[in-house]
Amino acid sequence: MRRFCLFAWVALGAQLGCGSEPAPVYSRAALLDPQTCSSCHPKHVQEWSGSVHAYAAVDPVFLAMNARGQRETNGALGDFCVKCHAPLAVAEGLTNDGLNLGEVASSLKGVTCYFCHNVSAVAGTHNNPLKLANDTTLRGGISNPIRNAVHASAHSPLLDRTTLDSAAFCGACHDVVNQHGVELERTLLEWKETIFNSPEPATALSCGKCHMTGSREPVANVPNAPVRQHHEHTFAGIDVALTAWPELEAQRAAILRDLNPTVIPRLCVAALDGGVRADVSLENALAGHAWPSGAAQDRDAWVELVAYRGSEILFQSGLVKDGQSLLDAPSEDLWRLGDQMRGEQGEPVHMFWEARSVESNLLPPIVTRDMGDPRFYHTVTRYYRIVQAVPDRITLKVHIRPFKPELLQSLIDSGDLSPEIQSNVPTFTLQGTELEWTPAVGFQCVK
Amino acid sequence: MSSAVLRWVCLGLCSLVLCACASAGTTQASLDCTEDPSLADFSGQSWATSGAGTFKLRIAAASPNTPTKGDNSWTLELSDVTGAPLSDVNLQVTPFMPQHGHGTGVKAIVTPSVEPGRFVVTPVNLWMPGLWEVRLTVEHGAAVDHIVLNACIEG
Repeated sequence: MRRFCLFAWVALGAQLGCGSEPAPVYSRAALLDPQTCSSCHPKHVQEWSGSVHAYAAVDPVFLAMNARGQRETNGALGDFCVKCHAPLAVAEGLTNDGLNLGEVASSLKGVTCYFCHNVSAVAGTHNNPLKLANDTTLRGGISNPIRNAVHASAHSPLLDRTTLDSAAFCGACHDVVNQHGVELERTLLEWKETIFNSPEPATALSCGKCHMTGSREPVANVPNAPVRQHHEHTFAGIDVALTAWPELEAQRAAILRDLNPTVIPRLCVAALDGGVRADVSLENALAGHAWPSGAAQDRDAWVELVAYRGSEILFQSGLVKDGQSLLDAPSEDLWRLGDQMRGEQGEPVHMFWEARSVESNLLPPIVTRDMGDPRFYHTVTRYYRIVQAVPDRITLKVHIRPFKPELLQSLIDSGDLSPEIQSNVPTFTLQGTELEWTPAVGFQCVK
Repeated sequence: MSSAVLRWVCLGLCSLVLCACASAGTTQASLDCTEDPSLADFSGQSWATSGAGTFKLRIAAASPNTPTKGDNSWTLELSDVTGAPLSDVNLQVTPFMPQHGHGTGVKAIVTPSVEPGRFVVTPVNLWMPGLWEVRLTVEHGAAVDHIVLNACIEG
C-alpha cells in the first residue's frame, strides 16, 4: 500500500508539474529579446523577422496613422493602435500612445516571440485583450515539450493550431472595434460564421492551419531534437514591409503563394445588342474569412476587365497603373472589393477614428454545406455590358494591394507619411483569376 | 485511516489531476486523414482503374514525394486495359475538397511527356489542409472516363 501511494504521489507531482520546470537559465529580460530565441530557433526567428508581426511598430503607415490620429483626436486615441503594434512596449510601461516608439528598444517593438508565447489568457474578442503571464515559461503548441535548461515550456491550446481555441488568440488583435463601436476589422467574427469553426474535424480549421504552414522537422537547433510539427512564422496575409526590411522577397512570395488559389473566377460571355454581356463570377473558395479581410477599409482589391478589338480597347473596368488610385482612372462599372468607412454625416472617410459606420463589399466565405440554405451559393456575380462591338478578346484579373493610394495620399498630404512610400506598395495579381475569352470559345463560360 | 480508504483517496486524487491536465486542450481543429484507406498510392507501385474500367493510371513520380500543402508536381502514367501506354488523350485535372465543397483558384496544367503515356501535371495546388480529391477526366477518342486520386494534406 505504501508503494502504491508513493507511486500515486509521484504521478500527482508529475501532473502538477504540467507547467512547472527547473529554474531556467534565461531571465525574463533575456527572453523579451527575439535574438535570444534565435540561437536555438533560428528558422522561426528568420521567418518572423520578415513578417509584419516583426514590422508592426516600424511600419510607416502605422506610424503616420497613429501620429495623425493622436493629433486629430487630441490624444484620445491613447494606446488604441500601439497596444497591438507594440504590445510589449505598452505592457512594460514604455509608451502609452506610440508617439515615442523611436526611443523604445527594437526588441520590445512589434509582435514579438515573448509576447505571443507568454500569453496565458484571452480576456475578450478584440483590440488586444491578451493577458501575459510575465513569467519565464514559453508556451506553444507542442503537447509534450522537452524540458530544457534555458527556459520553461508549456503547452497552451491558445498557441496550438490543432485546437479551435487558437483562433480566439489570433483574433484578439485581428478584430478591431473603434471608439465609436464600429467593427472595423472582423476577421475572427467572419471566421466564426464559416464551416471551419466547427466541431466536425473534416471541416474544422484554425487560423494557424492556413496562415502557418506546417512541416515535420525539429523545432529547436539542439542535439537530438525530435521531429515535430514545425509551423511557418511568416504569417503571410497581405501586408508587407514598405521600407528596407529583412526577408522582403520571401515574404512577398509567401503572400502570393497563399493569395493565388483563394478566389475562383468564371467569365461567361453572351451576345447582346451587337456586342456582348460579360458575366464575372468570383467565389471566395479558400479564405476562412471574407475576402479581403482585416483592415478591409484600407485594402484595395478590384476586378480588371478589358475588352479588345485588335489593339483597340473597346471597354475597360479597373485598368489602372501601379500606384494609381482607382478614383483617378475613368472606369466603367468598377467592381471594387473592400469596406468603405462613413463619417457622422454618412460621408466617405479614410481615417478609422472618423468612422461611424462601414459599408461592406466583400466576397463572403463558405458558411454552410447545406444546399437548402440560401447562403450555400456564395459566389458573387457582376454583369458588364460591352455594346460597342463583339470583342475579339476579353481579359479578366483580380488585383489587391495592401493600401488604397488615396488613403496614403491623404497621409502624405497631412505631412505624416513620406511620399516615397506610395511607390513601395505592391499590387498582387491573383494568378488563378487570370482568364481570357475569345470568340473561338463561343458564347459560353471560361474558368 | 484504513489502507483501503487511503487507496481510494490516492486514486481519486490522481484521477482528478490527470483529468484536469488531459482536458487542458479543447475543441480540436485537425483532421487526421493520413491513414485514410482511400488515399492514392504515391510510391508508383500500384495502378488505379478508371470508373468505367476504360483506363489505368499510376502516379509515376511526385514532387514533393508525398502530397504537400501548396503546389505539387505529379507525373501520371496512363494505359489502356491491356497495359499499352496512352498518349493521344485529353487529360483534365481538377483538385476539389469534397468535405468543404470547393476547389482551388490555381489551375493544373497538363503537359505530355516525351515518354509514351506519361503526363506532367503541375501545379497540383492543394493549398488547404484536409482531404482532397484530385479529379481526372480522360478523353481518348470517343471514350470518356474518370479517375479520382485522394490526397491528404496535413498542413
